[in-house]
Amino acid sequence: MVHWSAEEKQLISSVWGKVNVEECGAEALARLLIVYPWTQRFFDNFGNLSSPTAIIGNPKVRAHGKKVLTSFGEAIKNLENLKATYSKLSELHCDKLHVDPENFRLLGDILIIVLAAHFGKDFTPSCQATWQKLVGVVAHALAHKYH
Amino acid sequence: MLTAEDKKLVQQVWEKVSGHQEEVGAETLERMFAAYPPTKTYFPHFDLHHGSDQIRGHGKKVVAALGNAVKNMDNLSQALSELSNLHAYNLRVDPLRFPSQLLSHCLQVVLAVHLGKDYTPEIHSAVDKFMSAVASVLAEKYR
Repeated sequence: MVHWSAEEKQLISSVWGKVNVEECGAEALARLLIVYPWTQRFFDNFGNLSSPTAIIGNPKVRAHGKKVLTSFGEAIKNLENLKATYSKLSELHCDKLHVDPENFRLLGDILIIVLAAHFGKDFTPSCQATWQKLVGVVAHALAHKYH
Repeated sequence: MLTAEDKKLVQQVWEKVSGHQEEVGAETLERMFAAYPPTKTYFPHFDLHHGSDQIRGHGKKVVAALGNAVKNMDNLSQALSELSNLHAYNLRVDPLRFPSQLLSHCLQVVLAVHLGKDYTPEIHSAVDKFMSAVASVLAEKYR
């Protein structure tokens, strides 16, 4: 069981409260596909991913980014119970989607950079440290049911 | 592989950093120590408090070395040869995580904090590739 201090919970919710889930989600997924192009292997049916401009403008990327970050929001609501919250999603990513959990770590780090770009100096080192812990724990929960 | 466009973008970003080298370096290290406490094990001899002279000095050194790498992107192996030796034989920091993932990531967070949306996906990609190339060269002589 991961322990979250009051300060950590505060740092998480104060940032999350200001996040535009649709924009941030779209941006994070687009950056994943741009910076680590091999991740495009999971999105063959997304249409045009041929350039950064195409990826950023791709409506399927935007929609999926929003879905992923919305799900992240569920994790934030259930910090004390992440493994259970993500149990089905973990099975899905293993059994149906066949996604190497390393990709969860990549996306987590990309999300941190997106937040840093949006919040600037307000994304302090303590804030970053807390969010690194959060994305790590989420990635771990998503990988938990792999076999 | 760094394309000509990547190199141009890295140079552009680096121009924005020059003049703030000490700040960027110090903040990168500070963020790394906060987010990844095990990295502190390489600095038992340092005062790691916020604003410490040692962090500022070391941060400035790291950024200066990266600046040298930026000037020599066509020949990183040669430009970083001495640093490669240092990291392989003296410092022996874990080559698989330390420079390539942790330091690179924290440097990029600092750049994103300071550049905001000017830290575009294209620039993000170029910097990530550049740091990856640097880390690769630094790890060359480990074994």
